[in-house]
Amino acid sequence: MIGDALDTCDTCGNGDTMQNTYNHAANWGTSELDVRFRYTLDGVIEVPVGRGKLFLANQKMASVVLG
Amino acid sequence: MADVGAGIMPRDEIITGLLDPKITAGMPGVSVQNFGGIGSEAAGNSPLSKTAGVFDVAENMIWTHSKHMVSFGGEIMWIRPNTQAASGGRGSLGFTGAFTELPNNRSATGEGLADMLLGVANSVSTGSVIHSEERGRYYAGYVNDQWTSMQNLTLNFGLRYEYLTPFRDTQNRMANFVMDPGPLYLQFVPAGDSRLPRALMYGDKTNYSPRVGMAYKVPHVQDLTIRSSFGIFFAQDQGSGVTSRLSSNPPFYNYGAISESSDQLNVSTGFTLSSSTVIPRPTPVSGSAFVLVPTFAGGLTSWPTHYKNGRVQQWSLSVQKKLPWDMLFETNYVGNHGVHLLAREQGNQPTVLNGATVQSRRPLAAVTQSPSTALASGMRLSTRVFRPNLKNVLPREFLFEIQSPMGMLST
Repeated sequence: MIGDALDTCDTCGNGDTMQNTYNHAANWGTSELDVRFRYTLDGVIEVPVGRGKLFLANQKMASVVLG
Repeated sequence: MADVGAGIMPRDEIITGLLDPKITAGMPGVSVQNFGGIGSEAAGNSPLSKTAGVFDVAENMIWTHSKHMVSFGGEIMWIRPNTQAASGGRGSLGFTGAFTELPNNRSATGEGLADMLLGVANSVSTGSVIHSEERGRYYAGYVNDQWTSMQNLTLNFGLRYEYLTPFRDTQNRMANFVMDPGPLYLQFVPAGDSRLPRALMYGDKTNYSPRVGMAYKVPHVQDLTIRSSFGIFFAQDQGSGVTSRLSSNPPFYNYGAISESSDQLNVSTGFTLSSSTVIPRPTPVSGSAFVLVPTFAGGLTSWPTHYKNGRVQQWSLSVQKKLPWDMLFETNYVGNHGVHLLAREQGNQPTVLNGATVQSRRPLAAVTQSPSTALASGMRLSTRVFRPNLKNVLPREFLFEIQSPMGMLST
């Protein structure tokens, strides 16, 4: 994922205040939400446990919990 | 010496008046140079009691006719947030070492703990607890038509309307320091005053949200689908904490508050602790009886009298293509642009440094020397995301997913 995020203030909803009251445009800049690049790799693997599997094939509880 | 303000520590105000009478446990906050804060909940906002109390009724209907699937519905919410927080009610003392400095070497000497043992604080501040019982209502209705105009093209058209009434307090414990141009400019208006509605602002009735979308299966190309959408979404205002709301204005909050600091030189300007020292607590007054004087130290909050709900435009484009070996490639672009988002600013911010005192550089100094927290619906936000995605779609087998950079966006 790549992207950008800009705003006039990140935490001015509650707590902080804009730096320059008289020139909102001057507050425009990179946001706290700005994440320019994110790379993720994920996977799901089915474990060989429970009914019809290599391990604990006859264990009902194992099938319910793990199968 | 420190607790979480949960009532573990018995009430001890150290100096009479340093705790608000409604604080039933614990002690004031004490900060000593080079030591961690001591006292009950150094942040000062505990005990904090909040209830949301939202009652929500919603109804959704779907009517299918020929190539159209029309959905419509409505929603009503009764929003009843109650808040009670120690907030400024837990006063504080500050010991900086200013009074144990060597006169000929001030920057390298001085000890906060020694100042405390002398019983002279560099600063003292008090305030009051805050208590609000706000009530608001939210109304919304929508209609949407999902039209399968062709076998490989689906279009969506919709419109949503919503209206959130500005919040009022059940006991009228609110006031607004008006900073909008007009006849009420710089007037301090309590709830119940005929010059403004009870909620002290007018709601935004322009919250129309159009929604359009399409899904198109490209002919003559196997398993290639394009989707796109555009919509407008509105934000509500409950995100601002109780100390940013109109409940935080005097005399309902911080009435009689003091905030004093020494000149950092003379012990006589410090706050001397003794068994006979008393910080006076004035008798509470009604909103209409309160008179704003420029030296009021408790802080003021201003909301625009013609409030605009924050709104975000969102648009998206995605392309999905099934590849050989049960692979699915998908790429999404999503853009957002928000305007009128609620933000805090200092409505009485000092102008550029020109040698005069801070207070004299505040443009509203003749009315108030408070920084005057103003809630402006003027914040903007813009985000763009490009998200390529590749995944295996075989069920119940080893799955994997890769999101990788395959494009470039500039700012």
